[in-house]
Amino acid sequence: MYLIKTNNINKMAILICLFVAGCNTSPTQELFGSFFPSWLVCAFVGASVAALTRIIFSAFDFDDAIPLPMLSWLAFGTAVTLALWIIWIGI
Amino acid sequence: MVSSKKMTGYAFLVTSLLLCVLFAVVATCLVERSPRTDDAFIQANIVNMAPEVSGRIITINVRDNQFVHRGDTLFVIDPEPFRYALDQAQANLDNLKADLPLQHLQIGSQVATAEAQGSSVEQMQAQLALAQSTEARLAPLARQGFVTAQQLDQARSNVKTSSAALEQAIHSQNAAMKSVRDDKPLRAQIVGAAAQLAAAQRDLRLTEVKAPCDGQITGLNIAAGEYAAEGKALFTIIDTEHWWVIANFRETQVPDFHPGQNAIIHVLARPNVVLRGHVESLGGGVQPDVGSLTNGLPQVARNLNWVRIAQRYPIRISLDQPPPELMRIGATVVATIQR
Repeated sequence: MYLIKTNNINKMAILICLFVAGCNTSPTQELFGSFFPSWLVCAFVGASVAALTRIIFSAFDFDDAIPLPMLSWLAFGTAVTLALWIIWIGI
Repeated sequence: MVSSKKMTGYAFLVTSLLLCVLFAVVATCLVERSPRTDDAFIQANIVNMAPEVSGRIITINVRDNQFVHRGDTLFVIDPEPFRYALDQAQANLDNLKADLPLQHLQIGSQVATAEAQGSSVEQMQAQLALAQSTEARLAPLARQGFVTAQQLDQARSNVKTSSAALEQAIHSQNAAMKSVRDDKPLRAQIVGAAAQLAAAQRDLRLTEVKAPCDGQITGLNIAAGEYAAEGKALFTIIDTEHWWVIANFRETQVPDFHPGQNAIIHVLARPNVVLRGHVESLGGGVQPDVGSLTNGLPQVARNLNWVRIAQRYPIRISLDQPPPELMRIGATVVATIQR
């Protein structure tokens, strides 16, 4: 059961890598024939990183130690999103 | 051990929140420093190619989407009727010019006639003077009886006749002088005919429609044989000599802009290519959503909108070195103004 979840995460990570590999410094990105703002791409990556981190924490039995999980993971994901976006638009 | 895990968990939460706030502040500052919009597109001048003369097209030298240079012949309208019109205008001008010497001869003849009438006046004046002196001589002699009363009456009659003849000669001279014609009307006709000739030459020249600028043909879907009407556009040329970007920025950002500011343009067809440009001018206004007049009264909609969406104004950004392969009217770009 756990292996299945990990495989799904791996697939997602590969997908994210494929997306990010095609990125550039443009504030707007083209995905499947439509243009998306870079912050939306960063938010997608940030949420994915947060989810991945939570899986890793669970694997090490550390997830229970996070207080207010909703707020914590939301703040973490938002921080990652903003960090990526700052790097992106700051280039 | 349990306490340490909890402490680490709290540290994770606090650090995430602090980083979140810090990054939000930094991101806001970055965005404020370099306002950007993806509500932007590439624009260029277009020329609707309409002929200035009407006629059937006999040759089209260009194809749709072809690049042309300034002065290239695009299509040719049948010049035959315009050649005839030119010949007619030339013949009309030559005819009028040929009339000019004849007109001068007539004027010379009329001037001579007027001068002859002037001589006649002098002759009549001399006759009147002779008649008056004759009467003056005879009058004292008649009182002394040296001449008959009939001779004196004859002399007086001569004076009156000479006076009437002089008056008639003066009128004739005036009439002759007034009848002397001028060549100004004919010269005006010649000027008019020359203008008609120039217009005919121009019409003939305009049967060859040439490109007014370097550009790309678009919207060409006609063939030779089509009738071209004066002033009716047949296709369009995109002026590829000048390209610019129209970026619609929010009204809250526009006051911070001024002509000359540097801009970075990402053409989304090739996001890796970064173009440079500068603000050329700021939009002066857009059509407002409300305030239009209906039947002479302002139309004001009733609403309870708490959130108002900021108006956007077009900012014109000229491109410094636009790559021709990416320049297409309407292409989506992201414009970033560097303050």
